[in-house]
Amino acid sequence: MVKALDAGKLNIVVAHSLEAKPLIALFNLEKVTDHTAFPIYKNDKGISLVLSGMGKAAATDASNYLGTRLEPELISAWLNIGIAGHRSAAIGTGLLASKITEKATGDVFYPGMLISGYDSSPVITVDEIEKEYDEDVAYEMEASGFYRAAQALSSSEFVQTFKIISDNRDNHVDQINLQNIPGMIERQGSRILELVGDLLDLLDTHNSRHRLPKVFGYLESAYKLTVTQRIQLKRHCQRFQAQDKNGLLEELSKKNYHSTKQLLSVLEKTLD
Amino acid sequence: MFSAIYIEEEVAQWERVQKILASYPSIPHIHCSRYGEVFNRKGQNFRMQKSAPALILARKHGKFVLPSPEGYGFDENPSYYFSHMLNCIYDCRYCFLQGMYRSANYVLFVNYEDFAESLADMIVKNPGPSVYYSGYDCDSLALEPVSGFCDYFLPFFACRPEATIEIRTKSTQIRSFLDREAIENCVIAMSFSPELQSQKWENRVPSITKRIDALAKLQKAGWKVALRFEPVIVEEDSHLAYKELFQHVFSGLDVDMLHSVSSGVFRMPVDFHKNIVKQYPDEELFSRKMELEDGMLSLKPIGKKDEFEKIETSLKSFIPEEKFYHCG
Repeated sequence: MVKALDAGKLNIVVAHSLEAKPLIALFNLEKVTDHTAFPIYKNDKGISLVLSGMGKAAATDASNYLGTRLEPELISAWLNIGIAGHRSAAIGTGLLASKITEKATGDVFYPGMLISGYDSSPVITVDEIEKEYDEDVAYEMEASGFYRAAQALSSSEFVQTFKIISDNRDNHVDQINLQNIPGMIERQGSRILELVGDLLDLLDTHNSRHRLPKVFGYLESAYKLTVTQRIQLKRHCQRFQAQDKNGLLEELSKKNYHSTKQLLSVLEKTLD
Repeated sequence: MFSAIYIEEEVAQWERVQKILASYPSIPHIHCSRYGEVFNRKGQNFRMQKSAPALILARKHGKFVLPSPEGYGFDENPSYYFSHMLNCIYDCRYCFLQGMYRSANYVLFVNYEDFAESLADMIVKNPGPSVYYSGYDCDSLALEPVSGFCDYFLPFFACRPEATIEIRTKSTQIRSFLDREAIENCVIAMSFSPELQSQKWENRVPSITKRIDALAKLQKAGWKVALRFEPVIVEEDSHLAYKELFQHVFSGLDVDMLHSVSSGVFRMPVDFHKNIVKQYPDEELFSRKMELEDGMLSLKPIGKKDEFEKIETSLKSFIPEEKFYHCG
């Protein structure tokens, strides 16, 4: 059984074990589950990796599976890494997806563009390996499935797809030597580290703005709250924090209230 | 300046679009079918996008010219607004756009000819004076070097003297005005807040002094300028901060030449406020006590209740009564 919170601050979704191997080494990840469908790896720095298997449906399922293990309240970042074909890009090039089109349905996804300094390309997710390279874009098989699931679990600014070009018109997909794949990913290691750093910086900016005062956790467990009361308590705590009155909130939380209603009323009246 | 440019396929080859794209060759150019699939999609974070917005070049469909909201205008004549752009390059914490749109990306509608056709129709339908506001969903001037909005629309209004255009702005991009003869039926309306509030909440906005200088240059060149003291956020002894602001502003301008001066209190539809709080839970302004009236939220008065009246009284002491109107 997977432990709760096995999902990290950053969750990497990878299709194939040959793609995962260099990433597991890069981030010092350790296997935390033997779940047969979706093995999960993680480190103590908040990075998790799930191995989805091939295809967009598997990418959706694996992302959703890891998504059930997220820390509540705070948002996570998601990153799909894998190989792709491209009509013109050189072998080994790393490209951030600027637009993801699912060929079978025509569904389109637009990752947030807040991360700068990376070459980018539109990506088309196909069901069968692309051998014609009709358009000057990256072709692969998981991005749309990954994005569909991950954007529902996060926000588009924190969901990215990074593709490393494994084949092109001059180096056809039929000629790929699978044993070269780990090396291709490995050679993009420093770029991947930068990308992960940039994503985590963005995420930390967001989450620090949304972090609740510690006393919220105490009050939440000390009083019986309806769904509405929990929302009210959360907002009151945010307002105390915004008014730089966490000390006062802590003092008030130490008093005994005969009901949740009384607690909420006192907090409301105390605020400016 | 932009993190990326999205281009609707329909307008991709238009000259106006090609010219903009040529100015930004090194950022991603991403094609889309309709701007809404980028701008209106779910799962976006307005506040995060605000740190590096993208530009979306699109064609507007539907209604181009709409009746202006109640209490928006400066006279009793028919008044309308039109928006060639959605969102603003400035980042004013009190701005309702933060709660109105899911995205902080800028949408620039490039089919100016369709706007002009609708404006022309509306002007014909309203014989006599009518007013057209630009700057309700954006700051019309701030992106002028990219949009060329004034270069297109000022000549349009110059030929239609019965119709007045008011361009509401906080920008000091006034070259388009200074490079041409002033026209009688154009008003450039600049918004101001007191110094401390401006520093706290009007991120990326030119300083008060720079804005006054820009207005003074416009006045000198014969353009009509107006002053908008909105939104007034009433705090303890706000009238003193406003008095200082009024002294600063009016000492730099020719009061007799002003077109109009208005003030209006900070108000916001309740749904917009709800959306903003989700994005800015840590913002002190939105943590204050609010009052609800007719679906609009306003700040509960701090200190003495007549603070806003004091501000308006002070304002009126600087200008002839007939130049003043209350907005809202």
